[in-house]
Amino acid sequence: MKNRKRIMTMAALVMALGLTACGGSDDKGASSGGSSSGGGYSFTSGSTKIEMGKDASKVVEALGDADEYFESESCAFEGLDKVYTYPGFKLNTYPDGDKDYVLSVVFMDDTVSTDKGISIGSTKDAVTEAYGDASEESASKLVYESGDTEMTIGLNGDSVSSVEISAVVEE
Amino acid sequence: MQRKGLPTWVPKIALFLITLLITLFFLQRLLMPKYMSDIIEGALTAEYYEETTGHEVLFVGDCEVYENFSPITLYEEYGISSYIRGSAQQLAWQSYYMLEDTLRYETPKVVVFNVLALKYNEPQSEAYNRMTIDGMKLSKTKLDAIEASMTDRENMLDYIFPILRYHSRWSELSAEDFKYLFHKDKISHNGYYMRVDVRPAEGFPEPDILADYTLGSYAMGYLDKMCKLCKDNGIALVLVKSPSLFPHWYDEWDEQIAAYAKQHGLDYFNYEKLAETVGIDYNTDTYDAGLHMNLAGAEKLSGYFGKYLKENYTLTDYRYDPDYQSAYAKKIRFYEEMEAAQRKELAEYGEIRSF
Repeated sequence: MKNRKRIMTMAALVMALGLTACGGSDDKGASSGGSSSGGGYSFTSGSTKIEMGKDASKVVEALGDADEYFESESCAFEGLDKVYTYPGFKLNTYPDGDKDYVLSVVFMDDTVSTDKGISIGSTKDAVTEAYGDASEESASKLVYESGDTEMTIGLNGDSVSSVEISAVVEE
Repeated sequence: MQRKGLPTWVPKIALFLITLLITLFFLQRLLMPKYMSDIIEGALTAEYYEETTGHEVLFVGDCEVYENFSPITLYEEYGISSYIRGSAQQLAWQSYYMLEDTLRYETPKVVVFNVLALKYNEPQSEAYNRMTIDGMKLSKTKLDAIEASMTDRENMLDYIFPILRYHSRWSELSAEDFKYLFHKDKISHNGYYMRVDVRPAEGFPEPDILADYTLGSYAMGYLDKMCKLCKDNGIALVLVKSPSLFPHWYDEWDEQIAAYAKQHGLDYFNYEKLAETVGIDYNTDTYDAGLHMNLAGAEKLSGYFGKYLKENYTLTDYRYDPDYQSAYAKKIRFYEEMEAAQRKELAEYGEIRSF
């Protein structure tokens, strides 16, 4: 009986050590949330700076009424993915806990431009002059990475066809 | 001469190891999410292994299969025995491995793959990966599925020994974790997730302008593999796009799938475009404003698709098989009871709360 007790104690001890040692992962388990960015690409509309991965409520308040608003439930998780349409761009947000965060800004026409003046219709040379060499380049797009953000510039030949600035998060 | 036996420490160590393994096993079961009262989609994968009948039609894909097709309708109207191996945001490679996993148990005559997931060309989210993969039985197929699915922050050991990932759930344990330690309630109808409520479709935002409309090579590579696996096993592969209005399914993507289907001799049906022919009414047949079908929509789509299946493949009418009759009688009763319970909740609270 004494031996059995000792064995049980040893088992519990080994388990506790094992579980303590494996603390590489975060505490949330498999949650749906993502991380916020530190620096990286942003977009400015009027006097409102939109930083990716940051709390969306202040941005939405500062931008004023959207032309259109759309929300959809994710496949399984609680919370809503939201899309705000403003003149020239769309703002996408994602939920994490009880807050919404900025997921991305997508240009919808050539009336808006990046902080360095790139808009739909700019040339590829103007992009590389403004932002340098891309992290990833193909015939159809240039991808720039900075911090926890990404800027994807679509190309149609030598001309910019799309611009998306996004937070790199696990949706 | 004294007989040499095992050293005295051997049985002690053996007993210690057995005790350790049993304790870890219990702890792992306790700490893993149960997906019973919340995010129940996470319980879909494991339910397949409880099946007692075979299936001649297998659906694989994301929420556009498990919310839009009703195997019970396929049985009731055509005698088709089918199963949906789908889960939330199930990616193309996961659908491939779900098919491969199914082939360890049975060989269906027709496999139906919903193509929406081809828009994703890389692993997306640990949470969704877990919901799809954790419920799979351990096998080489599961290991391959993990390998193909992991995001940068994940690792294989955490999947093989989930306790490594979930040990921090200690503080979140609830009565549900103890209640469902060894047994889970059935939540689906041959993989179908039922919702009876109605929320009419409204407007949708303009689709994003994409940098590149080409479907990614990683995802398309798994469609190739799926195609080959089906061919090698004498299975007909059918591609479908469910009649869900959001997220947007671009014409450019549709054209690529249509061309792929033509090149490989597959049937491809885009039910977004055929919604009117099917009889889908987005005012009454969706529970979330056009993203997924409700029960009425799923039954309409299944009735329409079942006719195609019956007319184009040699499928058994299991309504005349005593074993299937008995198994499906239980399934239909469960289906009808869940429908009644949801309608009761809807009448009482104005919304579905428990399903």
